[in-house]
Amino acid sequence: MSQEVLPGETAEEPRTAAATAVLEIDDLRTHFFTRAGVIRAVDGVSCAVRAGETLGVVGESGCGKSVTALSVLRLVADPPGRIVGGKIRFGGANLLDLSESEMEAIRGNDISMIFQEPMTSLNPLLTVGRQIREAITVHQGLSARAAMDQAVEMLRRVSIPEPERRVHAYPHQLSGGMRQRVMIAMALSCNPKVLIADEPTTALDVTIQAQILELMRELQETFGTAIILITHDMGVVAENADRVVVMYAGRKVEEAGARTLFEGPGHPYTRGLLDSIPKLDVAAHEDAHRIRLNEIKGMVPSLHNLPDGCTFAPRCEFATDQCRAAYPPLLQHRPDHLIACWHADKLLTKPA
Amino acid sequence: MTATEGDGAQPLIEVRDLKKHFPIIKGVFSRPAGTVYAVDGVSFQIDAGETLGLVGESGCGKSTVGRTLLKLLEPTSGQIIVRGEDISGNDHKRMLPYRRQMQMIYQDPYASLNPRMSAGEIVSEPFVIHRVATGERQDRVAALFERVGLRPELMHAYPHEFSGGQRQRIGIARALALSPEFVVADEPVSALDVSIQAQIINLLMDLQDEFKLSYLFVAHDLAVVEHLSHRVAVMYLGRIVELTDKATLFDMPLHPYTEALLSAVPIPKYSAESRKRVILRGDVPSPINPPAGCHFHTRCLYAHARCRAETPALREVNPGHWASCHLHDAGVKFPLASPGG
Repeated sequence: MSQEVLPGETAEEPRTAAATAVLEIDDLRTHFFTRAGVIRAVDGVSCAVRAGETLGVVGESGCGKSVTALSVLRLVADPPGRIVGGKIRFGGANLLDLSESEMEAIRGNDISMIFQEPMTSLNPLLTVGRQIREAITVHQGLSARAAMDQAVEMLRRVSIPEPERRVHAYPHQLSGGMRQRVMIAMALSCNPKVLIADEPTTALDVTIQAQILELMRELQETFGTAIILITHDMGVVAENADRVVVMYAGRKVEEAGARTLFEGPGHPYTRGLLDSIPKLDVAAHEDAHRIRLNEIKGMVPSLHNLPDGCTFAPRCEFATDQCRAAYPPLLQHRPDHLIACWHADKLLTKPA
Repeated sequence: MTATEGDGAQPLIEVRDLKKHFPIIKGVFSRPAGTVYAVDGVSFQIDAGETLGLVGESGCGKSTVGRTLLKLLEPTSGQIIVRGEDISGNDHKRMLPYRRQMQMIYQDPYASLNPRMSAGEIVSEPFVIHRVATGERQDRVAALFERVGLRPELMHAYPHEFSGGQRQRIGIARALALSPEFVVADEPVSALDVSIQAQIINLLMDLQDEFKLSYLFVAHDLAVVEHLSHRVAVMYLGRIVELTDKATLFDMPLHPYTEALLSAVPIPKYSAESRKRVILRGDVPSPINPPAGCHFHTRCLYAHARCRAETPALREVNPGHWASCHLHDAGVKFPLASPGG
C-alpha cells in the first residue's frame, strides 16, 4: 500500500491540506558552507501548517529543526548558511523570492517567532514595553501612545500581573516565565497568521511550562494562529500538536497526525525515542529491579560526515544491507502517515 | 521528629535539620544586606543501595542540599551523619577519608571536566589525590573506562574531543574511581539528548546494582527521578514538602505542590482530550524573602488563613509517608485531583 511520492509533486501532503495550508515548506534545503565541508543542516524537508493547527517538529540537537524555523523567516546567517533549494509558500508567494524589505514586512507581522531563551532574545537595555511597541509601530503604523496602550493590553492578555507597571520593567527584572510571556506578547502583538515557537518552554520549570503552553493554546483558539512548535520533548508534542514531523540528521523521517504517530510510530528512530523516555506513570510502578530504558545505541552522526544510505542505519536495530546502501524514500505507508524507512511496512505490523 | 527514622537498621546517610544560608554582601563596606535561605531545615536518610530522588524546580535548593551533604559547602547548621558519625563539623583533614566514599556527578559535562587534562588524567586524579593504586593506575583507569562504556584508547583524548554523553561517562568514571559507597548525582542527564539520556540512566542503575551504590539523585525531571529512585523527596523553597516511596508519591500525593508538579509533567502519549491539570498561578517566590507560614501558600489552590501564618511541620501522615501541609490537620481528603488522568 506504499505510494511513491514523485519529485516535484506535493502528494506528500494530502491535496486538501496543501490547499488550506497557511504556510507550506516544500523541499527546503539549507546548507552551511564551512571549511570542514558542506553541512546539510536541512536537506529536503517539506511540511505544511493550517490555520488554528499546531504542527509539532521533534528531533534531537543537530537534527535541523531550528534551522528549518530560521529558514522560514530567512534568518539563517549568510555566510556560512544559505538556502540552496526549495520553496516556502505563504500568502500566495514564495518567501524565498521576496526582497529583504518585503521580508521585513512579514517578519513579526504575519509570521512571528519565539525563541528558547527569552533572556538572550530580549534587548536588556530597553523596557519590555518599548520592545513590544516597536513591532506595533513598525507594522501597524500606530502612534507611540496608542502602541504603548496596545503593549499594556498585550501584557494583560498573556496574564502578566500589573501590566501597567511591568510595561516599564527591564527584562532582568522579570522571571524566566514572565520573560517568555513578554516574548509571546511581542510575537502576537500584530496578530500573526503563523507563530513559530522554537523550544518555547525548554528553559522553564514544569509548572511554568504548563502555564505557558496553556496560554499558547488559549491564544490559538482565540486568534486561529497556526503554530509550528519545535521541541525535543515528546511529552510536549503529544499534548499540544495536531500533526507531528520527526526529524533526524537534516531530514524528515516521519510525519503523521499526533494520534497516529503516538499510537503507532513507524520509523525505528521515532519508536526508539519514545521507548527511551522514562514515563512517569510506568516509572512510578516498577518494582525494585527497575526496568531498563531502551537505548538508541551510538549517537547522532555528525552532519559533515553522514553515513551512506539511511543516516539512521548505524544506530538502527533493524538495519539491513539495503539500508546501508540507499536512503529510503519518504512514502505514505498508511493514510496520512509518511515514513522514510525500507522496513516501515514490516515495523507497522509489529507492536511498538 | 524527623523524616529519618527507619526500621531500626542504621542508614548509610542521615541528614538532620540541615540548613545552608548564604549571606548577601553589598557595597564597599561589605555590609550584609540579606540572606538567601537556600536550604532551610532538611531531614532525610538514605539506606545502603538505595536511591533517594530529590526533585524540585530551579532555585528550590536541591543542588545545595547535594553539595552541603558532601561538605563542598559548609552547612550553616544541622547534622550530616555517615554510618553513625556526624561529619558536619569535620575539617578538611578529617573529611578526607569520607571524600573517598562520597562522590559527585555533575550536571554540566562541559564545565566539570578540566579542558587541559586528558580524559585518563581526569579519571586517575582521585588516585593521585588519595595516593592509592600507584603502580596500577593505568590499568585501573582502563578498567573504569570500559565499565562506563568508553574505549580505553580514548584515555589520551581531551574533553573537547568527546560528545556530551561521553563526557558524562568520564564524569561517572571519575566518581567511581575510589569505589565510593555514596554518590550525589546532580542533574546528570538534563544536559543530554533524549536517546543519550537513556544510556546514562541505564548505566547509573547498572553501576548501582554492581557496586551496591547509594545515590542522592537530584533532578527537576519528575519522570527521570521516578524511574531511578526508590523514594522521592519533593523540595520547595529550601524545604522538603513531601517524602515517600515513588509509587505512593505518584498515586497518592499528600502535598498540593506535589500534586501540581505531577500534573504539569507532559506525558508522551496521545489522548483525545487535554488532561485535567492543576495549573499553578505565579512564580516561585525568592528564597531571599520567602513567604511567611507555608512557603507554598502564595501559589497553593487550597491555602487558608493558617497557611499564611504558621509553618507546617513535615510529619508522617501515613506510615513512611511524610508531608508538610496543614490541610491534613483540617481533614481534607487527598489526593485532591487525580494526577495521572
